Order: sequence, then structure tokens, then C-alpha cells
Amino acid sequence: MSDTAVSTDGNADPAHRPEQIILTLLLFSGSAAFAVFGALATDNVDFFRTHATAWTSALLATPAFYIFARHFARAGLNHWWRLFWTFGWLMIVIHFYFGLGIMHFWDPVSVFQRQGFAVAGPIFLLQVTWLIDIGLAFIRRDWRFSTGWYKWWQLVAYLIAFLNFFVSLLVFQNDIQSLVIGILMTLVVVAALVQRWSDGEHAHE
Amino acid sequence: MVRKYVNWAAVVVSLVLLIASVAWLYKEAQWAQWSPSGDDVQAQQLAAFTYGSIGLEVLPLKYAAVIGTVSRSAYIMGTEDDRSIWDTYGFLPNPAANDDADPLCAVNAEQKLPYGFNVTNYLPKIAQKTPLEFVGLSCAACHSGTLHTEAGTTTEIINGMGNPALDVIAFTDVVRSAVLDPTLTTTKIIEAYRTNCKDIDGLGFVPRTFDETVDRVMIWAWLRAARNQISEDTAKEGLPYHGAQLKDAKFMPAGPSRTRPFRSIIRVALELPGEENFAYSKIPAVFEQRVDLRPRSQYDGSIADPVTRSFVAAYASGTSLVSLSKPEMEFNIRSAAGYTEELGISVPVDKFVDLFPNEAPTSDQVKDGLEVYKLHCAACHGYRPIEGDRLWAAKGEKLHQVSLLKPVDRTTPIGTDPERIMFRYSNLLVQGLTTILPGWDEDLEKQRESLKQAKLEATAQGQLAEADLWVGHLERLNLSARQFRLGHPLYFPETDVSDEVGYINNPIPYAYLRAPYLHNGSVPTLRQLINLDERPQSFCRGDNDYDPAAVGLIAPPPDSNGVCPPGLPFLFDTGARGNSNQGHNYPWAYQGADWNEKDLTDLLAYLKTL
Ligand code: HEC
Ligand code: HEC
Repeated sequence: MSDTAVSTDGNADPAHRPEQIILTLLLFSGSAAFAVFGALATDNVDFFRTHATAWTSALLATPAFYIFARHFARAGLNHWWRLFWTFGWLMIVIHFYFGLGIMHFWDPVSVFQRQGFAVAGPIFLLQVTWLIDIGLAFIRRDWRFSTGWYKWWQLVAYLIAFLNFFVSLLVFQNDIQSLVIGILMTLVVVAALVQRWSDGEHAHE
Repeated sequence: MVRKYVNWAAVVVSLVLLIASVAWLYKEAQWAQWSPSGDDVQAQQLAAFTYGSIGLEVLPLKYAAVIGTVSRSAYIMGTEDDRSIWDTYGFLPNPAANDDADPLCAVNAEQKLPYGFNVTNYLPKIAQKTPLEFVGLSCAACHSGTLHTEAGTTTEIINGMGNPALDVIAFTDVVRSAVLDPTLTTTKIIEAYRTNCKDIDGLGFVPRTFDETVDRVMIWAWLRAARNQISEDTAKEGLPYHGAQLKDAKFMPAGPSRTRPFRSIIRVALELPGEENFAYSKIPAVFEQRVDLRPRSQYDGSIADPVTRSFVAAYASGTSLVSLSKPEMEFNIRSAAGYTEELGISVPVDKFVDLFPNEAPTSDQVKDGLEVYKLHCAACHGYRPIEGDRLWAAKGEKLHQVSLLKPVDRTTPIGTDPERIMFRYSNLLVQGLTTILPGWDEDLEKQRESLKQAKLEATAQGQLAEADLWVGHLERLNLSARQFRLGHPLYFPETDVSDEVGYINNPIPYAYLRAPYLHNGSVPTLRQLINLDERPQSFCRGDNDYDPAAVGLIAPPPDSNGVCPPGLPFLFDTGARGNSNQGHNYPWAYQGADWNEKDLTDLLAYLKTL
């Protein structure tokens, strides 16, 4: 094994510190408690929880979006990415429980009936692609510097997640919270791309 | 070192939040589990009507148990002060209560609370289950009553009649004052409850149990939220009345046995202030609501489907759409509606002769009375045959028709008080009401279309503010369509509601249980309604005795200063707006042409058998 092989091994990432997992866990549990208990002060508990879990999932995923947009296939993904990506996903699972289980009485067909295929399809797709992507990020040793089909996979999973959030937060214009979070998320990704570009410029200097 | 502690603290906080959230959700799923009890439909319907929750939870049980002491100053009026809060506002004593001297506590609440109350774990408005118990109103709190005579006899509770003594509007103001009271604290409630109930609930020697701590937190949270809500509403509804004002028609014009459903429905359905509204509705009898007999209900015949009748009743009384979307509430609304459909038909109701055998009319009188009735009344009301299965004969050329308000002089052909049908915004109500509960798919599209149409029409007529109202309403509909994603379970089509302005000619089964008469309760007895006696100009109301001879309430006139006795404190002045006792002069005006005592006495005899 050469030196480069070591640097592609995620588990050997020198930046891995307990604070990382503690902070992301704290953010996740805070968000969960906000959705569960904050709802009791609103006039529709299930509705609020469905939304709050979507908002916080987007917020948790936003740092992961940033890291990916800036470092994917460049400096490489890192632990922050994997942690935010994982907790964002966990939150969307809770969202799924409320959205499908409570609001749609576990009747997926009704989601398609109500929202049409173009909207409902990607939402269900996301549940699958995100889960697989996280699974791979924990199984594969090359998750930080993926190559071959896995590299393509990561890119596709990223795009599906980002576009889902983009459409449901910004295009649907459900409420002011979604709008603000959607704008924030988008600006962060744009900033990441600008930095990616400037990282590249500097590399050439 | 410090870093380590901070890390540990963060881990602990995270885990606590996480475990609390998961545990809460898990418990909630358990609490929310509900299925109808047994499979005897009639028993379910009776249960739904008498103690089913319809989302009208009012107060935490433990506060309700001590409200008489803790919030006494909110409900005493200076006239009937030795009675309990429930008796003072006309709720019915519960026949399930035994005679022991125990106070109302959690263990005996279902027996000691008034009839028609329920105990649930639902939070008011959002109908979310929590460990805190609440008391709430069922249909029977309004739609049931007893008759008591001067001789001191009291009937058992009769489900389906309007409660003649219930003053639910004054009670609402009492609750508002009580909750706003700045000296009311969680500790005060808990301490008072513990003093009253520790032996009865068996809390025993441990002064602060785990349960009590949970109650404390929950009541604290409820009190905060309820205060916020009530003071927010005060901007629209004004300060609550108190003391003697509560029974003073100048301030609280509805009085016993009446409510102001259209004031509340305008507030909730149109989000407009319900003032300038003089529509006082007697709590009606709800017998024989089957659609073949009563295709349309409410005094103006505005609502067709029985379930929608029951929904509107609950909605006007203050329940929320979220509450009514819960399976338990939906079931209760439907079952209670089913109960009213059969009540008086397959579900028996006491007949006049069963209760007052001494006042039973002779069969000759009844036979002659039927003839008078057929001549003068049956065309509008249909009739009950005096033989056979006695099912109401829903025949009559004007039966089920609405006696329409004439725009010119704003009177109806029958001439009763018009305020119930021509209050401000009544013209917007049907549009508003039919777009409150989102339908699904095409139904929803239709609702949206109709609001857009209403907006266009209003704009074309230069009613710009009204156009804006419909824009707002459309936004509300869109929001609730997102909340009730598959449509609201109680959605009803536009055709269930009509907007004819007038009073409907409907059957009058169990006429003897409908006192005081007319939609506004302005005529105390049936003798007066048929003009055998002169109708009184003003009379005193409260928990009046029943007079089986005159078939109605004994409502004495006020003294020469216009003051009513303490037991019947509400002065009903038929000269006040909304209170007119005029009209419906059938068969004849009092001592007018053709008036004759024999026919009227026979008619009264027949009416006793309805
Ligand atoms: C707060 C008291 C209150 C409660 C609780 C209440 N109602 Fe009513 N109900 C009324 C009043 C008042 C009216 C008359 C409205 C009008 O037409 O002006 C009414 C009207 C009705 C009518 C129409 C009667 C007719 O023949 O015109 C029916 C049926 C009815 N209610 C059934 C129910 C059912 C079922 C419930 C329980 C789900 C219920 N109500 C709960 C007060 C109440
Ligand atoms: C033209 C149609 C018409 C005729 C004829 C008529 N009624 Fe009525 N009746 C009504 C309407 C409409 C109401 C409701 C009016 C209101 O509440 O303001 C009513 C109300 C009543 C009520 C009160 C019901 C309640 O819940 O308070 C009774 C009792 C009654 N009528 C009996 C009679 C009798 C007896 C006769 C014949 C002598 C008669 N009516 C003739 C239309 C009619």
C-alpha cells in the first residue's frame, strides 16, 4: 500500500474528534425535541411536526451540502460531511414517519394521487437514494475520495437530495420558514461552489 | 478538563432530549389508540351523544373539581350563591352520582360531573392526548333536560330535549374570567385539589407523587396557553361579564336555554366580529332527525345532512377542525347524529301521558283536536296519527318549505322574530361554511372555484372588502387542504347547506318537550303559543318549573319595578331586539275572529300526544 491509500481511508481521518459527533448529535436531538414538543404549542401538532422535521432535516443537511459542493472530488469529503449527512437523513426518516404515516395514514398511493407523480416520485426516490448513500459512506473505505461508479453515485445522490429540498422549500412556497431555510441552503451551496472555483484558481497559481 | 465536562454535558443533554422525544412519541401513539367500544350500534350512539368527546374540552379536570372554591368570585352573582357553579348555570345533576358527601374528584368525576360532560385526555383545540385529564361538553350537555313541577316532582333526564335552564353563554364568560384571574396559579389549583381529594383519590400519605408533578407541569402549561388565547380573543369579544351582569339581559341577552350560535359561527367561520348579531337560538329538541321526516334542519332549514348538522353544532360551540379530524371525534359526531335520527322512533322517548298521567287528555278531546290540527297546522308541520305505529306523517303541502323573508319589510309570512335569519353577514355564511372543511381532489377544486367566483362577483358589485375576504378565505382553504391532506373526514358538499332566508316548516315531534316555544324561546307555554292564553310581554327565566296543564314553563312576570326573583333572575323582555313573541298566530290571534276555547282546548289535548 502506498501513502495515497492511507489518505483515502476515512477511518484514518486526522480531523475526527469526539466534539464532532457530540455537536451534530446535539443539533439532531435538539431539532427532534423542537419538533415533538414545540408542536404542542401550535394549533396542529401533526402538521407542525411534519414541517419542523423537514425544515430541520434541511438545516442539518446544509453543512453537508456545503462540504460536498466544495470538496467533492477535490480535497475530499470529511467527517463533518458524513455526520451532518447522517443526521440530516435521520431527520428525514422522522419526517417520513409524520408525512406518510400520520398525514397520509401510511397510504403511499394517496401521496401520488394528491401530489402527482412528478412531485411524489422524487420524494420517495430520495428515501431510497439517501439511505443507500449513507450505507455506502459507512461501509466503503473510499467514501472520502470515491472513484468509478461510486463517485457517480455520490454525485447523483447529492443532486437528488439537493433538488428535493430546493423544490419543496423554495418552489412550493409553503411558508416563510421554508422560504428562509431554502434561501439559506441555496446561498450556502452557491458560496461553496464559488469557493471551489477559487480553490481551483489558487491551486493553479 | 473543562472540555471533557462540556462534552459530557452535551452528550447528556442530547440523550435526554432524544429519549424524552422518543418516549413521548411512543406514549402518544399509545394514548392515541382508540376504537369504538363494543359493537352495539345503539349503545355506541347513546354513549357518543351523552358523553362522547366532540372536541369541546373546557377545563383540566382537577381545576374543574375545585373551580367552585378557587374561582368562586368569577361565578357568583349575588343571587344564587349557595349553589354549585354547575347548578347556577343550569347544567343537569348527574343521575349516576350517589348521595355521598364526597366532593368531585378524579376517581368519581364521571359520576359527579353534570350530565353531558365527558372526561378525556385531549388538550382543548388541538385534541392531542396528554397525561392531563380534561372535562368537556357533549351533545347532551345542551340537548337534554328534565322537567320539574311546582309539586316537587322531577322527571328523569330526557335525552333530546333542549336544556331549558342551561345558560351556556354566561358560563363561557365565567370560565373566561376564572382563567384570566391573575391570582389563579397552578399551585393554588393543586393545593385545593389535594385538600379536597387526597383521601378520595387515595393519594394517601405521599404528599407529592410523581403524578402530581406531571399534573403541575401540564396545568401550568395549559394555564399559560389558555390565558394567552383568552386575552387574544378579548380583543374581538370584549371583557367577560361578571357578577349580577351575568344574568342581566342588558349585558347577556341570551339567557337560559338560548345560545348565540351565529355570533360564534361568524367568528370562527368568517373570522369577523360577531357583534351586531341579535340571533338568539333556543337550544332545540333534536328528535326524529331522520332525513325522510326532516330533510333539512336548523330553524331556517339550512342544513340537510344529519352529520353536517352535528358538525355545525360542534363547530359553532367552539371545537376546532383539527379536533374533529381525530377518529374518536369524527366517530362521535357521526354516531351522535345517528342517535338523533332514531331518537323518538326506534329509541323511545317518554310520552306526555307517561310523565303526567293526571293531565292526560281524553281520547275524544284528542280526536277533536286532531281535526283542528289537520285544518290549521298539518299543512306546514305534518301530523302524528293517533293510531297505529304513530310514525310522523310527513305530508302536507307546505311541509319542509321555508317561509321566506320578504325583503321589502323584512318580515316572514309567519311573522316571528326575523333576527335569527337576517343578522349581519348571514349572506356570507353559506359560502364561508361550505369552504371551511377541505374536500379531496375534485371536491377541493370545486371549493376553490366557488371562492374565486365569489371574489369575482363581489368585485363586480363593488364589494371590495368582501372580495378580499374571499381571497383570505381561499388562503385558509389552501392551508387546511395541506393540513388535511386527504380532505377533512367531515367534508360536506355545498348542496348540504342552503341559504334560503326564512323559517322552515318542519315536523314538531314531542311538542311538549320544546318549551319555551319558537326559535327564540319567547313563548313560555304551548297554551300561549296557540293563543289559548295571552302571550306574556315579559317574564322571568331561570330553572323554571314545568306546568303540564299549560304545557310549558311557569314563567312569572317581574315585580312592579321590573325585577325578577332570585331563583329566576333573567328578565325576558319580548320588546327587546331578537326577542319578539309575535307571529305564528295559528289557528287564530288571541281572542281574534274565529277564536274559540273549545277548539283550542282540543288542539292542546292533541298536541300533548305528539
Ligand atoms: C352548546 C350547546 C350545543 C351543543 C354542545 C350541541 N348543540 Fe346542537 N344545537 C344547539 C343550538 C343552539 C342549535 C340551534 C341552531 C339554530 O338553528 O339556530 C342546535 C341545533 C342542532 C340540530 C338541529 C335541530 C333541528 O331540528 O333544527 C341538531 C340535529 C343538533 N343540534 C344536534 C347536535 C348534536 C348531535 C350535537 C353533538 C355532536 C350537538 N347538537 C351539540 C346547541 C348545541
Ligand atoms: C304556515 C306554516 C305554519 C302553520 C300553518 C303552522 N305552523 Fe307552527 N311553525 C311554523 C314555523 C315556520 C315555525 C317556526 C317558527 C319560529 O320558530 O320562529 C313553527 C313553530 C311551531 C312550534 C314551535 C316549535 C318549537 O320548537 O318551538 C309549534 C309547537 C307549532 N309551530 C305548532 C303549530 C300548530 C299547533 C299549528 C296549528 C294551529 C301551527 N304550528 C301552524 C309554521 C307553521
